[in-house]
Amino acid sequence: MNGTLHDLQQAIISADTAHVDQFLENINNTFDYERIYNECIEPALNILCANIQDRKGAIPELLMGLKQVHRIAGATGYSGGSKRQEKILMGVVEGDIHDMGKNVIRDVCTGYGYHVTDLGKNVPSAAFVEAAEAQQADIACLSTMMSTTVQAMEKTIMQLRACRPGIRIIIGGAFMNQEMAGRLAADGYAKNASTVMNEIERILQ
Amino acid sequence: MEQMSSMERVLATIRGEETDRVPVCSLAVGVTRLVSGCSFPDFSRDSEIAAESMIRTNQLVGDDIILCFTDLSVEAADFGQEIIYPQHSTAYPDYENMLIKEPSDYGRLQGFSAEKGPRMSTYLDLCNILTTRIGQEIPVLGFVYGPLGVLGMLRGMENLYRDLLECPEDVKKGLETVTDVLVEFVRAQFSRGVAGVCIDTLPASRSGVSPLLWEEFEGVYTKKIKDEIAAHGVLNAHHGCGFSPYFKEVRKWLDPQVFSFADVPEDCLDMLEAKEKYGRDALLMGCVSTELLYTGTPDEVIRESVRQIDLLGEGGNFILAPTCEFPPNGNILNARAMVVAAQQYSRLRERESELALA
Repeated sequence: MNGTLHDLQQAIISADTAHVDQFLENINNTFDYERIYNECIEPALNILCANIQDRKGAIPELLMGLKQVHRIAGATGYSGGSKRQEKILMGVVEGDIHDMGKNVIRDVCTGYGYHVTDLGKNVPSAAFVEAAEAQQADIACLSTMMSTTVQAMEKTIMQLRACRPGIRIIIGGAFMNQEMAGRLAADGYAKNASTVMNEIERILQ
Repeated sequence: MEQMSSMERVLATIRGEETDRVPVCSLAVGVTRLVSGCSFPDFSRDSEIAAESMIRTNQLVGDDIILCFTDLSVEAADFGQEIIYPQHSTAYPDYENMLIKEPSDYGRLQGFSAEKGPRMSTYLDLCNILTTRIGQEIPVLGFVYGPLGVLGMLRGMENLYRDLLECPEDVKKGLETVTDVLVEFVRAQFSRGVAGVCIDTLPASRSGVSPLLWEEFEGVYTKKIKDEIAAHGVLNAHHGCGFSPYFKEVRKWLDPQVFSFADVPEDCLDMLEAKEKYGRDALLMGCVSTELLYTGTPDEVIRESVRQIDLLGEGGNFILAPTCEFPPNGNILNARAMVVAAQQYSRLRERESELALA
């Protein structure tokens, strides 16, 4: 099975749908998702993210790899959320509808085994607060691409801190940066989907 | 040196001649509605209102180039994409109802004459009003969103990026149609007297696709637009505000005379290398961050502008500008602060040296 798992890892990285199909057919429900995750999915995601940071890849390749991860999880009945303890809440703040970055980050976090609640786009601060309390969220990932919604971001951060004082908040989006994270009292900033795992690990320390 | 007009200053900069000061382009677009008091929808859809907003802002700020631009939905709207026009934000496609719903739809895109597109013709009117009223004193730069960006507005960028790898030939059919329309769109801009055209290729960076994908899916097509610009002998400018922009590939396909950018190019270690590698043959335009322009004070913007002139302005070939459109809800005083920094650069440098010595 080792060779097969290594091949599967490569198939995720190269988005080789046919190979993933073949693998899923061959295992015929006699799989160990833990092993697939440990030996294929996590290493493949690590490589896809590193490729972006090392300038060997970009978002389309990561999206295609995530699509394969999603297919494997679906075929094996894995529903996510079993690999990590922390619960993540995410959404695009009110007034903004650009959700591509948030969607990729959601799929990365899910792929790495986090339990993710995605509130979608144009999300009012009250909806973040309600979900954070209901889900007992540990981390909130807030996104906006625009400067017109910075105030909505600030308001959401303040209200999340008031309702769940221990919550860790990461912001992202074209208009955001590390300095803005400081100004808005966020715990971290994810430049893109390839760095979000490092940032989550950093703020949890 | 005697004070130059904006036109003289910009032309001298392009020719590599000495200027009285660094030229400034504030990239003030949506924010200009705050000067005239109009709404976002009116600014996007009424050329007279947009023109007055831009002219009055230019008079207030005193910058040297006007970018004739309203928002990124112009081209997509005329292909038939449903657009939402919020009162308090920039227009955007209805992402719940994309025109291209599945890969086979790329081949169904219909070309049309830019002159007859409702949004494009409004934009062309805007070019005409600006060049007629102030084009003799202030260079007016036209604008076109790159073919991959336009297709992203019709399909959704996330789906488009998957399609590039899953069904590339379908995407290319769409790119052919879009590019033909964009070539005619820039041709129509020349007939309105613009001094140049800026091509925006956002995916040409690590925020977008890999360099090879960019060359295959945008470089090749955008070159047709660049060739049209070059054939008309007007200024060929490029804007890309993503992380690690692909200057090498952009130069290969578009050979721009101006690089408007936000981050250190992919093949450079820092801005100094970017200046050395690209800023000798072409003009660099930047790089006051839009985050600072939104959150900073005019004093902070002046200090950062002086730093940018120090960094990128040595030897000329430089236009001081934001890294992207001036924040639409930003403080217009910060646009003025950039001009003040350029005007008082020598005095500000002396003052900084005195303070450092003290």
